[in-house]
Amino acid sequence: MTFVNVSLLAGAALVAIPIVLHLILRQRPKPMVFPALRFIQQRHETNRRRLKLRHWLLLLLRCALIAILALLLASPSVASTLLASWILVAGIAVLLLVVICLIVVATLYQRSLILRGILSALALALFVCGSLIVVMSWSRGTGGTIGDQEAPVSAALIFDVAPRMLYRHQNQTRLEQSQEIASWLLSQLPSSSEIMVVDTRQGVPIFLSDLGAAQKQTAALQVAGSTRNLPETVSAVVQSLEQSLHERREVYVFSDLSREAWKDAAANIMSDMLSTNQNVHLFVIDVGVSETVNFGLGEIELAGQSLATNSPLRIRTELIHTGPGGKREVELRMERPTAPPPIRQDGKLLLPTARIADRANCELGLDGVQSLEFQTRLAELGTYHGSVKVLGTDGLEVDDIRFFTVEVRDARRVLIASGVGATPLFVSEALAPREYRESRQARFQCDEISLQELEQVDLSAYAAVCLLDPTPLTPNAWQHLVAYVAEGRGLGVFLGRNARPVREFMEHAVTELFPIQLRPLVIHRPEGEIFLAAQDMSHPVLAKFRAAGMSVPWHASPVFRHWAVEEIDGKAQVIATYNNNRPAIIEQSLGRGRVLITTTPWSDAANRSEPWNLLPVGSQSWPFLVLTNEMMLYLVADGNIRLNFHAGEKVVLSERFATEPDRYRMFTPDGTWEDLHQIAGDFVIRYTEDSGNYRLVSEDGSQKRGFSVNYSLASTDLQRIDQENLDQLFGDSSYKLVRTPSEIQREQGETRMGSEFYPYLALLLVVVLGLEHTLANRFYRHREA
Amino acid sequence: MTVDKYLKPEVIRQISRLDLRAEFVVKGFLQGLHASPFQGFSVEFSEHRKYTPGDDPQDIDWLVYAKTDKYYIKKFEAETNITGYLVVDLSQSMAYTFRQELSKFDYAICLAAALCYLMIQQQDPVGLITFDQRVRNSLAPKSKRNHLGNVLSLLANLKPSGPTDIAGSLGQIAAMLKQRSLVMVFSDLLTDPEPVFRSLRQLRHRGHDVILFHILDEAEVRFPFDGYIEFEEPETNEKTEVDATGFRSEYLEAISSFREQYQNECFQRGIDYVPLDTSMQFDKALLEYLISRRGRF
Repeated sequence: MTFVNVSLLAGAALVAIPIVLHLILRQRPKPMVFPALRFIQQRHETNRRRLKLRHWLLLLLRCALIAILALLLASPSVASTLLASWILVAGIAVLLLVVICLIVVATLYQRSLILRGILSALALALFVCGSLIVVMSWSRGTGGTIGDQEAPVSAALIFDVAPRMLYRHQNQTRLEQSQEIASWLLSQLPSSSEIMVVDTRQGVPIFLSDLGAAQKQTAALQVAGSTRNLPETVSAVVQSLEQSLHERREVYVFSDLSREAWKDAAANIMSDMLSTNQNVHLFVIDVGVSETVNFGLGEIELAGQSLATNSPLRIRTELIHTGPGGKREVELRMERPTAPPPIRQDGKLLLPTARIADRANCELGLDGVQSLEFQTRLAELGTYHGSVKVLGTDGLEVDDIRFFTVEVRDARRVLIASGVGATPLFVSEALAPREYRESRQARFQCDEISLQELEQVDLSAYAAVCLLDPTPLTPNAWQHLVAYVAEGRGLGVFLGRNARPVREFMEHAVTELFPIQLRPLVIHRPEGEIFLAAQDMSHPVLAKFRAAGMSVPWHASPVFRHWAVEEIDGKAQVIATYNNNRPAIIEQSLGRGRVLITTTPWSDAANRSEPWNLLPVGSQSWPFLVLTNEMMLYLVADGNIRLNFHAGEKVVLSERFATEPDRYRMFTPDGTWEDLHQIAGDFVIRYTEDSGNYRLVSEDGSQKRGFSVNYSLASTDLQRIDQENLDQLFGDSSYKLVRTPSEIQREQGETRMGSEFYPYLALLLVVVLGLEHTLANRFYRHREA
Repeated sequence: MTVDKYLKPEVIRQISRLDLRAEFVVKGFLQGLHASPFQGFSVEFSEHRKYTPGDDPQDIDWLVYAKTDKYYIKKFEAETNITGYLVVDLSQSMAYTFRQELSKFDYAICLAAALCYLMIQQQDPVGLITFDQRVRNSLAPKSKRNHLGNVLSLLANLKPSGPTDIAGSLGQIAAMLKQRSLVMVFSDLLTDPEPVFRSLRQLRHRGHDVILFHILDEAEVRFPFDGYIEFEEPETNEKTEVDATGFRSEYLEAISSFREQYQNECFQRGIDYVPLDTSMQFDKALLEYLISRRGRF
């Protein structure tokens, strides 16, 4: 039970007044001579007792009068109407009991029939009243009877701030309409209410100090790229409301009722939380538009984010239309890496101009979808920023443009050191085919040496080293390689027939590179029933095979022999196995670099006697080609370069080379800039709420990097959830779906009512006042004989 | 203008002379009577009868003897008239009045004066006895006109004071009175009733007729008080605090049972009990006397 004015309860202390008057300030008797005193004295004792009783009764009534008045002014209330009804019924039951006792006493003492009649009527009235309230409580459930609309509440306003809230209808975005309704709502909330303004970004909801602060916060709301779903936010808010001061709790959710906003696994939790917190009333305020007309772009798919020079860039996306259909032109714009960096001029940021690289005309029908593919060739080294844009205007502009960033690099240098009898041709041709080398499109530049020359070569120029069918190296050479890998480079060890004595690979100095215990055992299956069988394709090296799945022709390239692995260090990871479940490719991280070990060689020519495998020369050897490329991309850490992110994601850009500056100035899409510092070799950008191209420029302007951020497709999806699904989402808990302020007001009225005791207390006060008056008059009236 | 109004205590108070008061009361009373209560007995009659041995020789009418030479005696005059004693209580409580024009004592005096006037007119001898703790004054009964003046002047000069002993005083009076008489007691009887009953029985036992005028103040009968009051007894100075409003019904019960007690006792003993209060007209008291007198003949 809560009180609107708790301090007024202190007024109950005034019951001391009648008590003091009764006990201390007793009435001074009027002196009077009276000869017939003997008759007074005869009856005095019984009279005194009766009088005392009457005085106590009167005192009790007067104390009750003050106490009830204090309680009345303190305005007690309970949150649950049902509870209020039961408290009321209990009160009436107590009164009924008292009246029944009075009837019994009156009957025993044979008091007047009129008195007994009045008491019986009163008892009947109380009984009828109580029964009515019980019946009403049952039939109404949580509905109420009488209440005060002006009691303070704990209110939480939840705003969906996903980009789709920028949908413009009748020259007002959904967010602006939410703000307008919220402003009205805040102005009509009872004074001294607690208010929470929450949006769907991450954060702990807190109560604001006053209405003004809430108005300010509402006005300052902005769309954010990464948002939580509404069920999750509602659950968090309902939980926070448990600490609120007031029993009456209201949650207002401003939503465009888009399906994505309400799609969440937390819906069950929300439903449960609302069911357990019956005193929380939820209003869903629909600010959405039922008939939307919009063109939007789907997610951008790039063929690669780090490309070799002159390699083609393929960009795939979709044009998605909601509405009756229409024509649109879509443009691909690219910024050249050599374009001048952004300049600040008159406080504004001037971005480099982008040229139109490609165009497409689309015609879509009702709610149509069309795939788009653009292709362009990137000739210059450096970072390219680009965008795909739908021309023309529509309801939601944020999904009309998608951004992307790609890097064009020189071919990565790879050193291939071959053991005796090993053929480096397969690997070098797989990495840099001659045709590509000649057209300068190759991603890799391979240098071939023999294993013996390894110690004389300066490894720092190479992004990765491959040891094809190596013999055990000298400890010095191993140490050399350990240091090389730890700096962040890659090492590929393709074990083969030369790997003897095998225990030397496992010597102390080499365990850092070889996290495995090799058994001096070669599995030999000349029938060719062993082959690579990459079943779990979760590793990035196997990512390219995922689309093909089971149809990859591994069996076409049999493996006749491979080394048996006895034990694997905890830090190492098996990437792929043979079909006999023995490890084929093993990965080991060392410092910032990586090591990949294969248990069968990549360098056995088919004409060699007893080749260990036919991987490069099998009837269908394209898996070898892809696998080798992917392994090398992984080793040189290019495969996992990400330059395109979703809003809200943490962006980490790794240091590319030793001469990279340790500080960049980052120009964000909203026209501001900030300085980025390198931390442990990485540049970390945590705040990526705006979509667009983020440009990083070194202090002297010579070095440029960048990345792009797009809103996720879900956050711009305008498809609405229907009432039935919304009902399912809320389960048993009740909510009110409203659209206009007048609807809000009506629903508020229904939910706020019924928890106040004011009218009942007022009624009780009148009854007690009447009793007191009657009793006092009866005791002190002038009897005219 | 009738003289009826003089039966009202508030009017009679305006007359200061007691003799006039008595005269007005009696005249007002007699005028109001329709059937005369005087019929049936003569105040003028005198009779002779033959002397019989045992009669007092002093009573022999010597004039008749001179004329007829026979002994006749004339004693009838004394027997046909009634000797009345007005016995007035002088206690302090008799001086009380709450809101009436006359105190109980004034009322008793007026009534006594009126009765005295009436009796003297009837040529009944009237005596006066006053008492508080014992008999204070007494005038021997006489029926002469000038005796009225004596009685009234004594009554007019009486002042109630101090405590009283009704029972003791009545016993004393019973012992004093040699002749059978009509004893008219004027008192508020605010004392223990049992000793009073004994004294009254004593009076009756000696052959006296008794009329008990129980005079209470109107306030003592109706208890018109309100609020919280400390009552003080004037004779004993005892005090009691009481909430008068709530106590009224109990008090009225008590006073009526007290009067009822006297009524019953008096009825059993053949005493005329006349409950009066100071707001009542005098005629009730006078009528009571006359009815009582007629009953004697």
